[in-house]
Amino acid sequence: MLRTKGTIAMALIGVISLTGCQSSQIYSGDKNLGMFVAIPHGWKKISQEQLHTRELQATTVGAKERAQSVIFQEAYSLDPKTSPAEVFSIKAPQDAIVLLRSRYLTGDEMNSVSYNWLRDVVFPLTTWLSNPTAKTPQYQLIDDLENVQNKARGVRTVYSVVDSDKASQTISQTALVSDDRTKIYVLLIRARTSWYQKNASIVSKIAKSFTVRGNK
Amino acid sequence: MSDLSRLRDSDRKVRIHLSAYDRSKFLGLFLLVFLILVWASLADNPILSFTDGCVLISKSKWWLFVLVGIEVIRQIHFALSEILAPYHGFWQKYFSFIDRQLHRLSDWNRYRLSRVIKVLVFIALLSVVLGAVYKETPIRALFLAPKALWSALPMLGQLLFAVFFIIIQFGAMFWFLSRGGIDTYFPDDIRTRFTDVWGQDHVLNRIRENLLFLESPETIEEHGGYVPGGILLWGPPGTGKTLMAESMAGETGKPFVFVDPGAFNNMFFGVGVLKVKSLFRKLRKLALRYGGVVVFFDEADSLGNRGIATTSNRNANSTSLLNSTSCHGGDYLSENAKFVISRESFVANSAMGSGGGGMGTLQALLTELSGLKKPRGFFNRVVRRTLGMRPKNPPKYRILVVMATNMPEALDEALLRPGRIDRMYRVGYPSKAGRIRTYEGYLAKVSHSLSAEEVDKLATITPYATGATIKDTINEALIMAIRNGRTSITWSDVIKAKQLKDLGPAEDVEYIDRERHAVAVHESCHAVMAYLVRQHMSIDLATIEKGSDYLGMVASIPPDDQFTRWRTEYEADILVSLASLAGERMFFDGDNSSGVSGDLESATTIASFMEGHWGMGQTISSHASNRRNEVGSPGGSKGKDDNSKDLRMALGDRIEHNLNSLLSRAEIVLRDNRSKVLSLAHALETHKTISGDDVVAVMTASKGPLVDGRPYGSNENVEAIERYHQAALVAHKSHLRPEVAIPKFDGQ
Repeated sequence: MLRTKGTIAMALIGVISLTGCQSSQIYSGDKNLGMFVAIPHGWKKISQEQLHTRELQATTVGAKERAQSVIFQEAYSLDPKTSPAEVFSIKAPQDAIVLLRSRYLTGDEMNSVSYNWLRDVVFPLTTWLSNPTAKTPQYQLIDDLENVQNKARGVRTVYSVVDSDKASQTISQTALVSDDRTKIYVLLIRARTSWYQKNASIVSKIAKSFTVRGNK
Repeated sequence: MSDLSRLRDSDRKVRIHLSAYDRSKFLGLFLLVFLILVWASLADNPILSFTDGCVLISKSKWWLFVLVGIEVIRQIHFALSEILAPYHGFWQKYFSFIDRQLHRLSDWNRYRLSRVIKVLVFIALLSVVLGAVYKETPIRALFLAPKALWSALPMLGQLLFAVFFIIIQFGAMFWFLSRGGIDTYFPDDIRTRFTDVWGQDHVLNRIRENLLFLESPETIEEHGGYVPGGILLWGPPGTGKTLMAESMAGETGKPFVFVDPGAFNNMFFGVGVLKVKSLFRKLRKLALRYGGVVVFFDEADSLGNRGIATTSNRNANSTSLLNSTSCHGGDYLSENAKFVISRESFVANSAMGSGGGGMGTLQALLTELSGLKKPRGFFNRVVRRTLGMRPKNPPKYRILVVMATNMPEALDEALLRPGRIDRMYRVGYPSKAGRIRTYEGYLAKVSHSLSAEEVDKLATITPYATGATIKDTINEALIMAIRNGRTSITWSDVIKAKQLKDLGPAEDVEYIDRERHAVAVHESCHAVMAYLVRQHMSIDLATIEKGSDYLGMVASIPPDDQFTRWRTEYEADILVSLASLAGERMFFDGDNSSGVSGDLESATTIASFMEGHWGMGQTISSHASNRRNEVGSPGGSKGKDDNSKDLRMALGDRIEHNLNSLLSRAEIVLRDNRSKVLSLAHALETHKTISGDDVVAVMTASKGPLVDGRPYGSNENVEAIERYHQAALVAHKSHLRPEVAIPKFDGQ
């Protein structure tokens, strides 16, 4: 009798004490989309609305269409002052930025999608590799791995690139396309190369947690 | 013994200890819900760890911990109540106080209030749930709900159709079958009053008392009593039981629910049970709303029983014995003797079995009748119990159950126990005063020329008349008057109507001479014997006009209302019965007809009861008791080796012996009054039907209303009658026409 009561009391205390705890990581993603990633505590979230607003202001060709086709996107930064504009900028960020994003592919994109096309999702890496020109910025390909998940497949490419301000940034770019070729899932981790080199394990952990299970 | 009894809750100093299961069931449930939610979150997010899942759920589903907290506080409260008497006492007093405050409202108001609160709680819960679903505030979600419901209607409709289509066939059928048979009347719907019921004042007074208690229950409840909840009105048909119930409906200020006799007879199993439950649900509702209700089950024997024979064929059996085709054997007997014969016939002929609604209907009725004090309602019984609270006892449903039957023996014993049927009133034949009042009542509705003395005499010669038969007789008399071109009833109309009702219409059959004489001798033997030996009955009439099921008859009536019977009276009954056999043998040279069969059966039955039951024979012990205890017949025990046949013969021998003795007495009486028998037979042959006064006139050689008896005092006429009889005897033996015509006397 006493033992039963004790067990129940312990279980209750255990459960109640959980309410005072904090989870070990920040879990980002969308369960309906089936896309998840775990970010360490201390990173500041930039919401989907902020990112969307900023993206609509872009003037590049097709930017607005792409913005409209976004299904989910969230960004995290170690610097609370990081703005949405910095997320979409190709310049080296002051502090590390993680962008998680998924959008529908257009008809043309569906037809032209390939692993190389996925590698070129931010910078035209494959063009730089095959046809380097004088305008090709200074870059270094660090890693390139195929990533096959339950209902999507693609590549994770890690490379560093030096921008016009001579600042070097390292990018861990995981781009997956759904098996039905309708959606693209992207996890982009950008940081200055110096920071990246010091915190490679953190970046690796974030990249490895990127899971795409597809729509329910 | 009371020290060993389990304490009542109100007698306990502390709360009864909860079992470990009751103490932990809700906490266990909450833990289970929590784990299910964690599992669901893990299933939703494949990268989520169990620990993080627990943390996330504890943060997002905080209300679960609120519930846990409430439950813990509740259990602490219970635990303290189990340990600390003062603490428990305080809360008991507090809840008693609350209960008292609540009971200051009327039961019906509390019922309505609780309904309103339940509806509000339901709406609140619904709005919270909808708020969670729509991710809106509960109030806003509540207003969004109709829109969502509207958009979901097609799907819901399909779903409901699919579900209901399957059950609707049965549901609708049972619903239709469980309708009907129950009518509700509200005060002033019915105009009949107690003043419309005549001749049953003693029962009416008791019923009036019951209604008063129903109207003002505090008059008895304040003194520790309770309002009697059930009344059974039983008695012969036509004595006014239903009229009495109708007058109750008119008198009471409460609703009156009338249940048809066939309401619980159904084709399908379970419909009767549904009807009973539906009926009592309705009664409880009416009782709360109006402070009481009266429910009347007419012909309650239709409810049946669980083993004793019902008497659907009782009347047929009894009448077949009494109305045998020969002599109308039963009518010269007293009502009591007729009852004994018919009861015995019933027991002998009826089969065991149940009747009425059957199939659980009676059991459902028994449960409802005695189950009125049980806690009721889903919230009260289930929700409160689940939360560890005792269900509240229901308010006092003041339901007065009234049943009426003319076959109380067909009712189940359990139905008649106090608590279900507290009072049983016999609605018997009206007393003479009651009959006079009833005759006056019905005569007041028509034009008539009857004097008060004639009404008094009419009441005297109709001792077992009921309200129904009196009404029928007066109506028949009116028909006779109208047939004769009058609109006012005379004494003659009433008497003829009575004879018509008693005997039925004559078949207008002419006997052949020798048979007419034989029937006349048979009936005059009965009449002479009745006149000479029987003081407790008077001859009403004698006839040799053939009816539907008799050749002739002598009808008798008791001059007074008498409730006890004596050996000498029963012996006189037997003598009158045996007079036909003794007379036929005496007047027809030892020959006798089969027409005595009914008389012999009556005589044997009465003799059997005298010998075996009523202590009027040679032995004392009761045959009924001995038969029940299987110890053999009274006076017949001959040891272990005797079989039951021997025992029965022992009783049978004594009955036969008694009947032989009485037959010898009858022969002596008739032999001594041979001329009277033949004179009366002559009067019957001449007039076919004569009254009791005419019988007396013949016996005393005086003038009667129809028959002038004075010629029968002349030896010359008697000799002429004797010669006619001898000629009829010869004709009887040779199957020829009598050579001597029936004598005719002056003035006849």
